[in-house]
Amino acid sequence: MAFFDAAFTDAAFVLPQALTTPQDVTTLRWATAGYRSAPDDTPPNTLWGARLLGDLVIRQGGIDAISLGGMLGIGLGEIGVSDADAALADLDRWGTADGREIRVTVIPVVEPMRSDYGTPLAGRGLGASFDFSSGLAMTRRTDPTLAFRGLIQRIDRNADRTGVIRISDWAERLNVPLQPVKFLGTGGLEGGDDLEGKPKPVAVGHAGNITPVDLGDVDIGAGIGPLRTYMVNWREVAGVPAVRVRGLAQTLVTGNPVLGQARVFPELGMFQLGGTPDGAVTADVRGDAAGGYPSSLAGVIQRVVSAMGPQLGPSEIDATAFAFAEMDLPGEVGWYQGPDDTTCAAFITGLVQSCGALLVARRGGRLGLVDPLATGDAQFTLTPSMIIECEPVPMPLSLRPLPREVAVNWRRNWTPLTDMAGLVPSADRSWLSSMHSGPARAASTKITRMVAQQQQWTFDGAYWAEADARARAQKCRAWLEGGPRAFRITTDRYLDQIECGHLGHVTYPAHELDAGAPITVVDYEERVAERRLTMIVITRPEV
Amino acid sequence: MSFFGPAFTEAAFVVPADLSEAADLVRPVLIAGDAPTAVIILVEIEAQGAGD
Repeated sequence: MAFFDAAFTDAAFVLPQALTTPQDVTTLRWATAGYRSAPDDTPPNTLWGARLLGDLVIRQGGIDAISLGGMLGIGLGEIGVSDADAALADLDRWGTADGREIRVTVIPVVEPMRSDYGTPLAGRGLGASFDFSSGLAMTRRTDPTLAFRGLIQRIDRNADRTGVIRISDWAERLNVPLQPVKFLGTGGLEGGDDLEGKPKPVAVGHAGNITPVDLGDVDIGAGIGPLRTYMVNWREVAGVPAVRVRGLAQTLVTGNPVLGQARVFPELGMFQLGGTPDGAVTADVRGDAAGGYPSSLAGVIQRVVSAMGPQLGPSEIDATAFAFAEMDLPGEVGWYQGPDDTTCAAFITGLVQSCGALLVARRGGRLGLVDPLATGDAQFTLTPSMIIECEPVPMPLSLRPLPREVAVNWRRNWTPLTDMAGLVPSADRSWLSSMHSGPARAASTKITRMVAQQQQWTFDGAYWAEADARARAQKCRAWLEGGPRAFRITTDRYLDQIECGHLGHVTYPAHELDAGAPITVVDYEERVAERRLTMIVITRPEV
Repeated sequence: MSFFGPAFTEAAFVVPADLSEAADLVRPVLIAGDAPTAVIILVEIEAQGAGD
């Protein structure tokens, strides 16, 4: 006998599905030829109607990015769709799919007479064989590949009963305000009327001589009464190693500050001055530290896109690419944004361009960071039998003729000072009055000997330490001294996989590639149904 | 009593730290594939309140 009466039913401890899933969202399934999933697939026995017209082109990159760094969105050419039955009416009229997700999957045709072409959504083994020469057992499988995942910009209808699906560039996801947390303007730590509605400041990594936000006289409850208070970051920071008034360093104290002293509250991202300043107040800050202090380029970018701006989740970030970027792009960097509106894209573009890195959207819809000058073992090998066409292409204008010297600035000064106190030591004056320190230079005697036009390759480095800027300059010089050349290669191998930043090795009986050369992919275009991949690669020095 | 003699020591089943760190940082190797066959492209689109 149960403890409860027979009529008793447990309360539902699970929220009804209607409360947790968006209502009235339909998944439309279209294909280049009718496809029906197998009974044990997810979803089972589902039809993808034949509606897609023509081929699909996925492209990414730009050879010019190799010299500048920056952000590379992934593009999908327009997808043609049949509209003979007016199925696109609502999609066009009301924009019912705009801003929603699109997934493109490629299914290999193994058995043309079957309704799933021999490739179920879960994939299928096609048998095994044993290679006696290598002693390896080989299994053959057919599996669908996720070729692209992104957002729809809009769906349009044409006059000839066809339509077009237009895809948003992934980079648009970063075109959102960097800082969603605003000052309320209610006084105290929320700022006065003049700050109402303005974004709170953002400091990441080690940023030098920033202008903090002046909150006026505030009593923050530390038992020292109201004092002039400044905010360097909207939340906890790792530290504020220096506070300056008209360039003169204030003594940092842990008790009640008096004139010439400052007290830092790292957990609030603020500091207070002991007296009323007689000029510009600036500070060095080791920035955002809520949940750890990231200071490398990879760490800082990951923090910005996950905690601010688009607030990407772990599944939207390519952790492997960021792990390699951490190794390939070492050094403490810093960046700052005061209480002015800016986008996450603008903030990050400045950071990645400071050392020529590339922020790339992956085919699966995740965000990755790559160093185009990275070296390592080849991830793919192209032999002559795999290459349909291979032709040289010109290097970007900024790298032709090859620069003889690389210059990387370091310790950016976010507030160059014109009015400095007389007591500021002469050693500090030069940096405080200029835009940055440096540059750290790496000149090549080999290239100087060879080129007629002497060109310099300059990066506005975000590095804090000179040694890191110098290491980057030397890495660029080593890459230049390898004599990089660019090629456009067309192949029908490595389909659905190649991404910008991948490392490879190519052998070809022309263009002095007979002995083989290590390459890096900087641009690709894949025509999915035609099964052709055209990529632009740049050779890199042998490791 | 153990199945093994007294001198037997079990092999270390834990990869040394320096090896496992290196193993974590191996760039994914791509698969060349055979000569390509024909493919079907499937597209899935989410739409609000729309039917096919």
